[in-house]
Amino acid sequence: MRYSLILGILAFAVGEPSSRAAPPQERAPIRDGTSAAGERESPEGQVRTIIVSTGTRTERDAATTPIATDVVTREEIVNSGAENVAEALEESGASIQTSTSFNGTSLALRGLNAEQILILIDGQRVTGRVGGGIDLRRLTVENVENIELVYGAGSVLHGSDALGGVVNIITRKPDPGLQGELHGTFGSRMTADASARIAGGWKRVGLYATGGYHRTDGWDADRSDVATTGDAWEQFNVGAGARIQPSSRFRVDMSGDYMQRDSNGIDGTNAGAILDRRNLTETVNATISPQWIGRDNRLRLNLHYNDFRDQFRQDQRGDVELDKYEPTRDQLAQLGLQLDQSAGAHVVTTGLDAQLEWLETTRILADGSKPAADRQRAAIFIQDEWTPHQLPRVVVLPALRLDYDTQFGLYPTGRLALMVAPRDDLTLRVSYGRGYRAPSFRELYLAFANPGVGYRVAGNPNLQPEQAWTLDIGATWAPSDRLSLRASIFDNQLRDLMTVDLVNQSGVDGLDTFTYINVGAGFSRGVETGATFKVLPDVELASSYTLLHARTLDTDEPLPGRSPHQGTVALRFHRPKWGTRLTIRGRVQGKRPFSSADGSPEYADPFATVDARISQTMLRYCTAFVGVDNMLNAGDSRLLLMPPRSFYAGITLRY
Amino acid sequence: MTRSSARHLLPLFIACVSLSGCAENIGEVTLDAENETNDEDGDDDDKKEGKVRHSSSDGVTMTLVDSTDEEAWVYLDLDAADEGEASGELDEDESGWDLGLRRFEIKLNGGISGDEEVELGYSENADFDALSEPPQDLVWITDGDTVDEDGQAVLAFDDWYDYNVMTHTLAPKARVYFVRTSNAQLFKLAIVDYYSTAGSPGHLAFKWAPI
Repeated sequence: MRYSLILGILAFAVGEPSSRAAPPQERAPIRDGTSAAGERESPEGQVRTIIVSTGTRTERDAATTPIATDVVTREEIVNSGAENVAEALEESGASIQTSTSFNGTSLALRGLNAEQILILIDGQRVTGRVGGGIDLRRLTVENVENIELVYGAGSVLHGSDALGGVVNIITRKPDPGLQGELHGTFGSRMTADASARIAGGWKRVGLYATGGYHRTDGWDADRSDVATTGDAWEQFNVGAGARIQPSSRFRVDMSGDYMQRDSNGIDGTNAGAILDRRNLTETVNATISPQWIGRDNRLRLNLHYNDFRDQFRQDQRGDVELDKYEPTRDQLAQLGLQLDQSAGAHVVTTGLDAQLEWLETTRILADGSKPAADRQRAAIFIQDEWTPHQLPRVVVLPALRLDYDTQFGLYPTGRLALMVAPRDDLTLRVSYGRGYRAPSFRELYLAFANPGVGYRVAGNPNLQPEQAWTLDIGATWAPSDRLSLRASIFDNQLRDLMTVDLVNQSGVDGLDTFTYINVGAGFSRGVETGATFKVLPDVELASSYTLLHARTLDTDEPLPGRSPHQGTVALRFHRPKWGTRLTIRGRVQGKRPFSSADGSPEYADPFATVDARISQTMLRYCTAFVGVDNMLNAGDSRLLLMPPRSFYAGITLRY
Repeated sequence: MTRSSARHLLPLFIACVSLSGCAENIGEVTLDAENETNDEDGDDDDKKEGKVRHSSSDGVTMTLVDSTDEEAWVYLDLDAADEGEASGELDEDESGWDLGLRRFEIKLNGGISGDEEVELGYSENADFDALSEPPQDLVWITDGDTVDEDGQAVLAFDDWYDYNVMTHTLAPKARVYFVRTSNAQLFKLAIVDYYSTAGSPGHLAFKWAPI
């Protein structure tokens, strides 16, 4: 995990113990599937190795992978008390910003917004973007091993949407032996989380099954009206998976899951309407992934199907004028074929990605009449991980990709990355690449009319992708076991951004028509620093700071919702002999610009959050915990939708 | 072991996929009819009879117009309504109308919209109750007398509202209009609201009185 710090004129930063730089490997190997992404325990007293795969699509040690990768580990997720991916990221020290609306909680990275961030689960694209972003609250963590974050353009390996970064949620795999886990939490606003997981691993087979139930009453930050601020919701999910390995050369991984979420809230319009709103959302995922492992190569096939259904219902009190029922179904089928070939100092990765996506929703009108649209994509890519020198370790990583999209044709992307580790405790990385975001179905085919105030917004089938060129320069230095420092500077040049503009005033139906056009341009640049310092054997201090400068070029205004300054600090106490853990975390965000009615930026006040949690492990298998989130009760009903101060307690039984 | 596992897992995957769409259909929920009336005063009979309703107090008439239809105009004869014998609502092909209303648009029976020389002038930030005659320097216009920034002819009531781009809502400007009707009568008129008490757009409310 990346943790950064700048405290006044002093910047000292350390990585998490889990992301501490390990000694460079002798050569970049082709790992077999058993070392798929995850955390590997090393012999007592040695640095642990975390395996990541998002930056290169091959399994690599996080400390020495050529592409900088932040990791939120299973251990950190558990110890943070997070119940879903949104909470896990918010509780981490990662340089992220989340924003919550009735569409859910979505993620911004380095000033780029949610629709410019690609969300993956085990390398497979997650569908179901509502309002542009993936709701990270619906992704629960009971079966999550790690969350990997790669900042900047990642389209060269992952295709569209990887403009500002890639978040890859790595699921847990069955370890050898029998494992069982029961987890229950109860807290403020009748918030309840219960989950269970059982897994077993043998030589040829590994199996797991998970299930969870989560609910909360929601909240209201403004009691002066009927409208609520945070939705009440109820969710359950089930999942199962298997690893079948008939021989050391061949294995098949399979997984499937189902989730249903029911959210309810009350909205108030400025015209005085009161709207009862409900979303009933379902997702289904099914994946089959066989792979063949040779001495110097590996061939992997991924078949993935994702079905997202959402029913949106809006019921106006006292009238039917604003009543709505909008069902949406978004299906995505993905096929991936990847060959990793080791040859001397080279590991060459080549592959083919294909996607078929179907969307049915009353919010769009394709070809002038259909409330449905589809698109197909295909891509080929090649990457050469060349290690010309071992001591000091030098890795050169050129990559190229060519995408074909039925909506706009061919789109090439590329990246060149360099990693140099002149000493065991120092790693330097530079990368420069291009990312893109294909126009969404909404931007292509939206059919929204608001005749009450005389305008409509129409999609534009001729849109071209947004693009970004990303430069990232970073360094990690771990001068001792007690201290590690990390810093990076980044620059994203954004072009062809899709913005809404007036194209036809008082058209045939008297309505002004707005549509999306590729005219926006901007930049997002800044500095991230971090530090972790083991103050005492059982006490660790971690902190981070991000400086962000993000503006549009056409209007020279700051990108809305982005804090120029953001910092985190965490104090952790862990005494294994007692089984006691105590964590106190703080996050500070500076003032954030927002668009106002007259076009000039309006600034929301800075805010800070503090969370605390203590846990005690007893009788080997049992851990009890209590905690408080948002101790300072930050949040409001307009610009900072954040659950108020919350207390919780729970217990985890783990075998 | 491997074959057996695969055999048992296949139904599991099929079960997962088949779960999709098993949630209830919330589009079929029946609305509570008692709570879905748009009648401002709870009198359903009035609403069924027409789209225009009046109430009077101290010589000032408050008129509510259901102009929610996106295509059909609602035509109003202020002279007839002032006499109190009818609502003043006319059909499209009837003569004598003064105002036409459709959603947020208001047209006059004059200029590019009609032949009966209805016209208006207005005073900004004036006190409706205190005004008893038009100002001496009032500028009288009818539909098509003014143009927008693109040179297109516009309605005389073109800019009766302020549009909030953040909330997408319309709010009436603080204006008192003077309307000379098809019968050459003079009325003062102020637009009060564009939304019903339930918050629905297309419900124009204005007060008016003869002067």
